[in-house]
Amino acid sequence: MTATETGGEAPAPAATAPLLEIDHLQVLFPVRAGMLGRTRAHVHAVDDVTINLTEGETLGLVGESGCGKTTLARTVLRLTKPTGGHLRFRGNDITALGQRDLRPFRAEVQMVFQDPQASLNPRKRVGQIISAGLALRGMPEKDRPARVRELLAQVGLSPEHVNRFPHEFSGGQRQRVGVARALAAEPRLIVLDEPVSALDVSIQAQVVNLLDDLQDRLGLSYIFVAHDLSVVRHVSDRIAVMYLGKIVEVSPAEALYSRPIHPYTEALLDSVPIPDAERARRARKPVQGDPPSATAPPPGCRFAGRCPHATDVCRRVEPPLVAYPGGHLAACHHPRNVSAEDLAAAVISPSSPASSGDSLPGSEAAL
Amino acid sequence: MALLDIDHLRVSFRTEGGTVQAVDDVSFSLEPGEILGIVGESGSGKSVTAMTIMGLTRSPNASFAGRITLTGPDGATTDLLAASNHQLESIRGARVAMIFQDPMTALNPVHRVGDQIAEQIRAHEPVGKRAATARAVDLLRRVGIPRPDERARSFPHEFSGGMRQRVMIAMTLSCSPQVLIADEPTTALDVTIQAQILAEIEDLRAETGVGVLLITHDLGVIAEVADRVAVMYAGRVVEQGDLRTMFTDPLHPYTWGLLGSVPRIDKDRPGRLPTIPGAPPSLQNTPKGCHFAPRCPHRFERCGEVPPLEAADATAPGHLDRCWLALDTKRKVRIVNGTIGLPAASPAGADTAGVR
Repeated sequence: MTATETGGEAPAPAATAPLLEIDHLQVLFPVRAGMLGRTRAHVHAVDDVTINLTEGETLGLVGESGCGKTTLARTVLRLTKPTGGHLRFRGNDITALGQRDLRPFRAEVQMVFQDPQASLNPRKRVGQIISAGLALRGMPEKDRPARVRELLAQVGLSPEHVNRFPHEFSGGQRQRVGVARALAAEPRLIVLDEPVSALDVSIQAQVVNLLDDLQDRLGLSYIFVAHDLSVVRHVSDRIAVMYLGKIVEVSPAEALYSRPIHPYTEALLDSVPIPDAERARRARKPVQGDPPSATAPPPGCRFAGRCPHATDVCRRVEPPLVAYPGGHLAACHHPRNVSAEDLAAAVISPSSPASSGDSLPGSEAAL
Repeated sequence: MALLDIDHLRVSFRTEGGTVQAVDDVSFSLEPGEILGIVGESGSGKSVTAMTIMGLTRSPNASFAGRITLTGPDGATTDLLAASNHQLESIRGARVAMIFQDPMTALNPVHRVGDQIAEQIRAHEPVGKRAATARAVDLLRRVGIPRPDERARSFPHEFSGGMRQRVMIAMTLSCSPQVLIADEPTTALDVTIQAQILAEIEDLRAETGVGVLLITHDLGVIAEVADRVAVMYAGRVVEQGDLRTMFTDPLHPYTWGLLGSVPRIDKDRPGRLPTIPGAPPSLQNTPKGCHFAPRCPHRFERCGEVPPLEAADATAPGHLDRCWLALDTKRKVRIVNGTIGLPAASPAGADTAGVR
């Protein structure tokens, strides 16, 4: 597990080529209305997002509902077709591949869903569910039962559970079945969409530890989508914060919490209730209002309407994603927690959206 | 006399698979202007307790024991468990109100929110439709909904999740209740919106002196707003005390486990999260004695008997717990890697010494 420089900074040498490159990815959903079903508008679910994932890395993806984190995760799996930009897996462009050509990629990238109850077929036995992934890998039928038992043991379930139905398990155990199913295809990358948020706290910790162990043992890469900032911090090497379809900040996990640069990140962290009677009861200053509509995102910075530091420029010019020292990127005209040296070393990242402005924070043009 | 007093409440349901003892001898009380947090995982009985207070669990297959006493402003008491359905109807919404986790399912999707609030007012007070609607608009303004006169004519689906929860709060406020039961009121909301709603509940308590029963699984939410906390596990209250004590001097192993297994953004991250081994028991077949014993690394012979909920430390009479371990032992064994937590396994026989 290594935290690395954010993608797009420099052409990486082949040895450390990213596992996954998300390159100016855009996903628009048409909003149809009227009798003829004409497209009236688009929901900008993912709007020009660029980020790379290195082998063995865990990338946390956080943001509030509607920020596009789940759409981004589903697009990485090509469950949703992007409307713009590129997706590359191990250097191969998979943006426009058809279903048949995607087959080999499907085994390499697996997903674990939020609700294990809804994502496991209730009529199939656990053994059958897990075997499906083995079939995808082309394993002969006679070898599958033994491998299913191995996988069950690997996720901490008893191999005797192979003939049970999903409803015979508790929530935590069902999520373990979901993980075993993902592992069956021997993936390199697992996209985890809110994998523990439906579980009780004491069970959450068990599943998080399991995911940690599996990563260490199998060298997996994870994209961990969650709204719970404490869980994300625990599992991630690097974290991307999304707001209304855009990445507003990317940072190595610790730096995001100790030194948030974007006011939205700061507001998010400030809103997390801390289970400590001594610490809580601070003067809470919750961000006011709701996120604006993704069908007609405001020009300029999308957070400007709720941001306590917003000025005129924020409402006019979309802030570019700026790379600060230490692999910390943020898209804000008025960055927080940055020193003069940080500002001097800052450059506009090539990951920056095409529609964004081209002046660095603190420069004449930005004021 | 407390505002709301729950006394040895037991609730069980007959099901095809046998009897489910959902609430097993639960006692606590709520004072006016107090926020009592009830924490527990799914199946701990926290929601059944709340719904029983509201009389929402009554069914031919449910059986109840104990008393739920509500004291009115005039000092008159009512046993909500023994009250007739008719009596309950006049209490529900008027004197005891409830906010649910999912405001979308709690609001009627085909009626305008202003009308729904007005209907609630008119169900309990003899006021005209116009006056009730005007009050509904005032209530919406009070809970921070912008352009309330316009928004009163909107349908629930036209609101965001946070705004919908504000509508629910406005509705509960309509009859100035004495008790507000909030069952996971912020669980379905984003963190920034959660902070707004919690602030709203606190303001409300300060303004109206309503007693709030806040049910949640989130210890962070509890730490932010509760005055006192009761921890429930498998149908029982296992520990109860004021907020600070519960976080600094927890005495039940389950509470240690809960506190230990939550990842924290304000501390260094541990290599592995401490966990509570195993899973909560089935309520159809709970273990004899202490319900937590099968998962507890500190269990010993005595745990086959049900421990009483009582104060372990004579100097803190308000701090109750249900555990047989001796106080000194507890204070010694609850520290794992420098913080409070439940060790994965206990050194054999090391902590059976010193029974309370």
